[in-house]
Amino acid sequence: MPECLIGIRNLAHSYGATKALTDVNLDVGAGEVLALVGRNGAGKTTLMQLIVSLLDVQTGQLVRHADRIGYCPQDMRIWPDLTVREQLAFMASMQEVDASDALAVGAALGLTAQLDMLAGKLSGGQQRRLSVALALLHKPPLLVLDEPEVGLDPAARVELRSVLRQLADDGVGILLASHSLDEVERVADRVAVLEAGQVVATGTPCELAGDGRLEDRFLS
Amino acid sequence: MKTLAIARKSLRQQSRDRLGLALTVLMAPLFVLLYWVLLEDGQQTGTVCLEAGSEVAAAVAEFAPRLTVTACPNPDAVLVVRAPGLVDAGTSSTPISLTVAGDASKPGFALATQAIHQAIDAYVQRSRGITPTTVLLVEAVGESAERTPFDLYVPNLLVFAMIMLVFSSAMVTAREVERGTLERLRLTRMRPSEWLAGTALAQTLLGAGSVALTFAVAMVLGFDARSAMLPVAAGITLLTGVACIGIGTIVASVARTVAQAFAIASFFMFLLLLFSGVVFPIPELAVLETLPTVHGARALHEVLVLDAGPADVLEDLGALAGLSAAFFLFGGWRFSRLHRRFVHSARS
Repeated sequence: MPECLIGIRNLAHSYGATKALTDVNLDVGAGEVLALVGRNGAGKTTLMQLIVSLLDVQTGQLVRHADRIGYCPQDMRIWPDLTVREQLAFMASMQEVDASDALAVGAALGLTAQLDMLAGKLSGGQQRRLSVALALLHKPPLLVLDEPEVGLDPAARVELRSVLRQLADDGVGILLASHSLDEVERVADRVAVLEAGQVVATGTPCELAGDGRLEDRFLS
Repeated sequence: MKTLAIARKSLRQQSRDRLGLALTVLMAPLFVLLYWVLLEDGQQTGTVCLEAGSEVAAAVAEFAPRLTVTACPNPDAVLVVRAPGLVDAGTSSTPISLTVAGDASKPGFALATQAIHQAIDAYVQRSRGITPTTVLLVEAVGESAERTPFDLYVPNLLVFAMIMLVFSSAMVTAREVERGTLERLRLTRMRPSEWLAGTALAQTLLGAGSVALTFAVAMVLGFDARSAMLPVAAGITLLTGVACIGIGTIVASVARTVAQAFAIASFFMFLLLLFSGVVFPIPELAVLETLPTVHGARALHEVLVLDAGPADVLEDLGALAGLSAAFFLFGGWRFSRLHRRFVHSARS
């Protein structure tokens, strides 16, 4: 059993009268990729925002064993008018890490050739890699990604999957929300299916694909 | 049909941005209302002394009743009116010669001059049945006598440069909110005070650069600044800039989009421009003393044009420092609330 980075017990969250999450129980371990799948509005983003502390826990327990968490929201949230180098250096200052370490993260994500390009001029895949790099500067043991393949072309998707797999192999725990069956099958070690704010199934992609539940989630 | 569809869509979108729509539609009428409230109710006052015939006194009494007429000399008078009389008006083609003497750099001088000019024209028109031709001569006295009209406007333009900071400082934060990058920064455990201090520093440097450039251009074009007072002028400008950055921060904390920030910042910019005496003279009104730019413009004028020292502008400096601190702290408090709000706002 890998080291537990996040332990979630009986977590519930509401926006006024609307229940977004109900009785969620989930763990994310070091070096594993856990994919959250479910329809739009199932509660994936809410769960992620609770994990990264962008929302306060209302009910239940959320124990963060990871002292640092990297977060990549669905939209890139980069600065289009700064170069890649400038963004890495700026976020390094904000995260209180060395600028040289930040550049190394950029290089590890294949951004060396783009260091002096404005982020607004990068391709979608490069922008996504920059967004991931910015989330990784402080070397978080857990990385949370909200639909990271949205807007990427097939080549960029393959690149990103390879980056995520490498991070997981290096011991980083990854929680990603996805609408891509292909992404889940190729990258995830485990899958949690969210439906109307509840985790209705968990297992490996093979287990869930075997009984048809995984495909059902994507087709429904 | 496409045009109509686009127009409908555009109007629908505008109607949903109620704040933006309200500001677009209501800004000009609101300023009309503000001008009326501030200026209509007998506020165009001032003391003038007359060295003129009885008809001039009668004209002022009848058509500019809000001016207080006294005998000369009077140190409280904003100007002295010299007119030989109006006896020739209407009986010959000789124009009326009207001379006003005073400190032409004071807003009250311009306002009183205009009132007297209009009063004499109205008096002659009523009593003689003709529209007179009036030749107005202005005799600038005191420090203002040495000054060109250009000199009088330069301090206002320095304040104008500071007022622009309302816009730029509002945009800086509004852009980050709209892009979501402020949320990314929040995850770094950045404190609101760090963001505020960082952006305020950048805006202050921007303002300092703008003021230095404005001042340099003015000097090259002949502005005669009292060099000994330049550090005082720099301090006044800095305080005015801080107040404007504070107002910009308040705007950013209210706006939810860049477009809203643009509209709200425009409102405050026009408010400061139109009611600080920067664009045209405004009488001294208690309510306008709450605008930091009023004190900034007045103090800069005293220091750069009239050769005043720090002691002469102590009252304005104190008010400016207090208002700058108040606006900046209020902006900071509003931003801290925004910081919490966007963190807790649901975006599922």
